[in-house]
Amino acid sequence: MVVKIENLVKRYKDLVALDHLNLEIEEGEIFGLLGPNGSGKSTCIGCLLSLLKYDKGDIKIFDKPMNPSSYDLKRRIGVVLQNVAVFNELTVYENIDYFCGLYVEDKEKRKKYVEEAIEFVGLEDFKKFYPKKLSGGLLRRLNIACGIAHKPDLIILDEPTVAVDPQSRNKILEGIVELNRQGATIIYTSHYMEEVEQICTKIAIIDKGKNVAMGTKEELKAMIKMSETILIDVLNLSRENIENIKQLPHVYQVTYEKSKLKVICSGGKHNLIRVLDYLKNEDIHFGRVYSELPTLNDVFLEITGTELRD
Amino acid sequence: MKVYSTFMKIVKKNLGTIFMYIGIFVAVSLVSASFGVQPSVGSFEASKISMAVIDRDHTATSQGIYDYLDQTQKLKNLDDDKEVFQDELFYRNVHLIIIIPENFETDLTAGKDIHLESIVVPNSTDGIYVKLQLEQYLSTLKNYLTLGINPQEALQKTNDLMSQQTPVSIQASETAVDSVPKYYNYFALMPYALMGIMVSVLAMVLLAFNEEDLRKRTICSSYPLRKRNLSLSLGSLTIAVAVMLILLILPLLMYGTDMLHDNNYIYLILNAVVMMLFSTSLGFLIGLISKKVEHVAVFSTTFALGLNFLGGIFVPLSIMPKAVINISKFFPTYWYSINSGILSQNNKLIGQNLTDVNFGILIQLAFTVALFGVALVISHRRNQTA
Repeated sequence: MVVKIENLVKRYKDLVALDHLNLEIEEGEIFGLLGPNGSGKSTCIGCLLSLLKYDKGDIKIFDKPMNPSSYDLKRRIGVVLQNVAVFNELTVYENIDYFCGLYVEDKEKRKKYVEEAIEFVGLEDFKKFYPKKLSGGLLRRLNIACGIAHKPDLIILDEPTVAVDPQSRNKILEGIVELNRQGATIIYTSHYMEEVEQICTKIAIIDKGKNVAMGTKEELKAMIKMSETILIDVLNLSRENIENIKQLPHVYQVTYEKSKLKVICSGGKHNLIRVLDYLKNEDIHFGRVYSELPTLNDVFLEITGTELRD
Repeated sequence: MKVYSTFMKIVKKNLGTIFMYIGIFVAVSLVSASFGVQPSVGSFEASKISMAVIDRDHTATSQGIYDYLDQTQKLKNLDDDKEVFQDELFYRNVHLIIIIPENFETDLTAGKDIHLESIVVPNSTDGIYVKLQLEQYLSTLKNYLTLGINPQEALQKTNDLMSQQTPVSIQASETAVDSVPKYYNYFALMPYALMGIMVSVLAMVLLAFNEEDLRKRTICSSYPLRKRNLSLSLGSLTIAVAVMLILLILPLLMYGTDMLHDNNYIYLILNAVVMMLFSTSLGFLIGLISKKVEHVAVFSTTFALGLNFLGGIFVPLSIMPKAVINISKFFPTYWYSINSGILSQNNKLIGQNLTDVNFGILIQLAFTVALFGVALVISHRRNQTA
């Protein structure tokens, strides 16, 4: 077990930021912490890294208790915090060298690591640039390079793609997957469900400091009733037709508004074919057809009753 | 040593500020020294006032009086015009105008009782002493003339008599000095440079390290917090030593090596070193409490200038109101100034003077320890609540 969090409670006066939170992260996972802003993701990371004191609970990393002076554990952890933390007075190279130097004393080894980190995030052409001269995306990449240069076994990335252009975002996500492929366990927090869905092998959905659901994305989607949403442009549809569609297998909700038929199914296969066959048999002409599988937002909505992006 | 080497790297990028402060300080101390600082005891010089003499007689006697006043006062030439007199007095260009009337020499030789007309600034006491001197001069001259001595000889004898001055001796200690070497000026102004450099540079560098996200990021690492704090303290001390050395070598280049043989040299250095320690603590504290570069600028201006002004570095303590001096005693710069004053007025420290200087140094040290203690408490509390 790389990380084990048991019954973690963190209060800010009357506000309960983490409410008996439990998490288990296995080696080799890309573990996504998904939740809206203020759900407790960053507080959880703060406690995990001993940046914050917590009121109750246990945190173990690599099967050892984590505390502020666990320097042997900290040596194996790479951190990329939400806000870019670099020296404006140092160049790109000097910044990465500084952060790598906090872990690696050997100069030759460090030089090699720094060069590799620069290459990994694609900042070869910006080595001598000062942070103020870098765009938001490049700055984020520098922040990541500073966190991973010492080749940690566990990498914690707290919302590393906030305010980043799509090109840099893709580069960052590809990089994270590559780091995982190279053997690092990743903890990735985000409120962007698409990113979490794209790269994470296991996801915990956090709301109001609680772990409301945990599993692979498939497991999470299987937890909810909705499995498929079918949208069809139809000009004329009678009340009788709608009632008939409702009777089709696995269909549990049908709406028809502004010439758009929306059919929500729970489980089962070939739902779309069945709906289209019905329309064809009834000689009802239809236009564009969409079929959507449930997203993590749907999972979040069904579990918590609120949108992920609220 | 990564934190230490990065500290020095950031300092290197602030070298411009260091040399700017040193440049300003050197220029100010050079200008200040060129005016010459004289000790407040040990010498006496009669005061002179600015005045004018209007000679309407144009005789040897009137010229003699003119010459006498020219030697003893600061004379200004004015046109014989009432409006000019009024303007010059109004603007305080002159404080006294003496008019020598026509037939002055004739009347004086004839033994007539003559009073010279004088115009002074209303309600001014300036010139009373000059008028007394002049009356004495005229009385003496009149006596010589009535004895039948020709005007030229009478003037000569009067001048000889009037030039005899009462010697003024100042009672001062055996160690009092006659003149103050210029490097004392340099040392007297040093707190300005020390505070300017240490607050600006040290606070700027520490501000970078203490920036919230960077501090958190460093705490997350396997670099022990104690080692980090030790490296920052060591870096601060390195800067302090380097700046101190530069500021101690500079006066040797500017004023020569005479100061090395000065009995007070070691105390001048000791006083400066203690002030440097205080400035380092101040820079350390400001670096901790500042959140932005702008804060450093505000703090450095407020503290550095405030302490220097109120402590008597820029303005002599002797001209400060008593109430201000009472407040100044709560600033280390006051004790630095007191020490500078004692050192500049005595070529050897003995007895009470030695005790006072040592006391001043100890007080400055106490301020330093207190300030550093406050900085440590803030640092400790902040790291606990990271």
